[in-house]
Amino acid sequence: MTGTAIELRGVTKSFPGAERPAVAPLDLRMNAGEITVLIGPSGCGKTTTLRMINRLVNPTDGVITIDGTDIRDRSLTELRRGIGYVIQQIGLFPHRTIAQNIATVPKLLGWDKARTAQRVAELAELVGIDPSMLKRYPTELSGGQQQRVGVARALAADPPVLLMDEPFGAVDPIVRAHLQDELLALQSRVHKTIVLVTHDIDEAVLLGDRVAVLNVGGVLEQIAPPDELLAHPANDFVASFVGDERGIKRLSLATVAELELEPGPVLDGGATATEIGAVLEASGLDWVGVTESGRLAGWTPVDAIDLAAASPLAGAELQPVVAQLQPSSTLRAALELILTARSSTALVTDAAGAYLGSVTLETIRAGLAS
Amino acid sequence: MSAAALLAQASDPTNLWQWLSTSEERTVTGDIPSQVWVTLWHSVLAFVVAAAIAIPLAAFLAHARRAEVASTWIVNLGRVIPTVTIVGLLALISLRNGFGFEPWPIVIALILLALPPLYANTYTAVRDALPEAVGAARAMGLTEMQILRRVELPLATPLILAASRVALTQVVATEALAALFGGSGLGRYITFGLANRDTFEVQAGAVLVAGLAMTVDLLFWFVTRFIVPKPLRPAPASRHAVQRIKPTQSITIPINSLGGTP
Repeated sequence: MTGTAIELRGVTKSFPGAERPAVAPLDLRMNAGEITVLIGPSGCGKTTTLRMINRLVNPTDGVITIDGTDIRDRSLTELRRGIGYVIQQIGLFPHRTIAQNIATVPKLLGWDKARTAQRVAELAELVGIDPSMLKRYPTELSGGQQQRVGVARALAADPPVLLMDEPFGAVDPIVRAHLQDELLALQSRVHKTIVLVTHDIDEAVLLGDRVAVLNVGGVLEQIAPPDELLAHPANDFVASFVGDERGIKRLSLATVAELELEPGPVLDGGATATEIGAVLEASGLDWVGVTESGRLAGWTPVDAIDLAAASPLAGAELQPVVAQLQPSSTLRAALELILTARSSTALVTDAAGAYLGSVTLETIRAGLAS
Repeated sequence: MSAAALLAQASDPTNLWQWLSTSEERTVTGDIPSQVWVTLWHSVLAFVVAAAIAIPLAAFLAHARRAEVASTWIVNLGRVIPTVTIVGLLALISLRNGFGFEPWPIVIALILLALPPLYANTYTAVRDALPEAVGAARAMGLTEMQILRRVELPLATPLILAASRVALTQVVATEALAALFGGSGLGRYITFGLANRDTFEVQAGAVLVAGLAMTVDLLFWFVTRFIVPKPLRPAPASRHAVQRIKPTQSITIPINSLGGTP
């Protein structure tokens, strides 16, 4: 499914009476079907920038286009009805039921009752609201449920663009984590062009396909995918903004598939004593992993092997490998396993169980450095 | 001595109740039902006109965030001029122009009395209507008129109705002033009673005015319960509607549990 790109060209905003512009000439492109996160300290103009996209704030200068069309060429109400908007305070209508709240924009667009009702039911399912809640009023719902309704209301008329202003800022950390996961799951189904404002770098890194770091006065310091932002901050400002734990944050982003795996202390079941000796010498470990026709079968301590035999591993009693990773595992999961595994080595297999290589602290460090 | 005074002496009631039950014999002051009716239609007319002026005007200006200081000033000006002065002045003007003692002097004075509370409260209620809901409505593409009609006014309803109730009650109670300047209505009993030194008549006037005002107040409160959108009705026990006991779920306490014999 194709989304709709948003482009800002030379967009500035000066508020009357303010010494410096809130947003300096800003060029920014939000790719179709991606989540672009705007992040920065207070006064960086991230919310102002967001609100210029649906013209809640009018730019002093510059052009904003959605899908190539200048937003000023469309009527204000038509433009806004085509853009979903989610804010921290949610802003549900307390005098309307949940169903009526969700149906706000369809009603404005003149949908008939049957179509609206069907869409409301669809959205309730999509964002995880129990149908029995639809007849309730907003005050009867918890904060997390209210924000789900807020998202459903924003998506009601299936707008290609979704603007989110600190959408999860007002809920507790556990609910926030849930909602963040749900947003990602939702996005994998609807592929909207989402612009999300946050001040939480962890949220930015988790949710963003690309993260734009803004400095005070609406100066764009860097826009990049999260991993690149963490690995190669463009300057000291970005580096200090993304924080001291860049390496650790990156561990959640990168996967084992991106690492250059080591051969590891692993041998085929038919290996000779000489081969075993060479591997042990190279690894400096006191155990070996054993494969049978490419599949990882288990491991055995060196003490338990009779090195005088023709194929010493053939008769060895194998133990199951606990420190086992898949290519899709995050480096964070890999690190966790390595720290608790025997001899700081984890073995990687694919979904079918075929042995791919090993991961150590050194492998991860080298991966992050590249 | 007037006919009324003679009549009052003739019947010579010995208590308030007796006075009230013989009201239809009082040809000058008039019987109670017709005076109640006069007071009511003066009051309701004045209230409806005041509401029709104040509520839309205040709502529009509050939505547009216009004339906040100016309107407050005018409203306060209305409050500091005593209604009795206005009725007297309007009665003079009305007589001079051949419109008689009533009903216009008292109705216009009552309109002026009702305007300030209606205007000020509507303005505040619309201006302060849940800003995030109003902001969300605007961002979703409601027109300014739709925001006012579908969001701000419904949210302002509880406060506007509360102000209306106070205004109407005040208007009913103040209508008695009409009788001071040759008008009819329940105030007649007070004015005539004072003139004739008939304590029971004065008492009857006071009781009737207060009674009517309180009845209207109660009726309005009752109507309010139906007009205010359900979730905006104040919950007596808790701010969270979830914890409210629904009216359909009545609580039955077995009489035995209150200490009766088993």
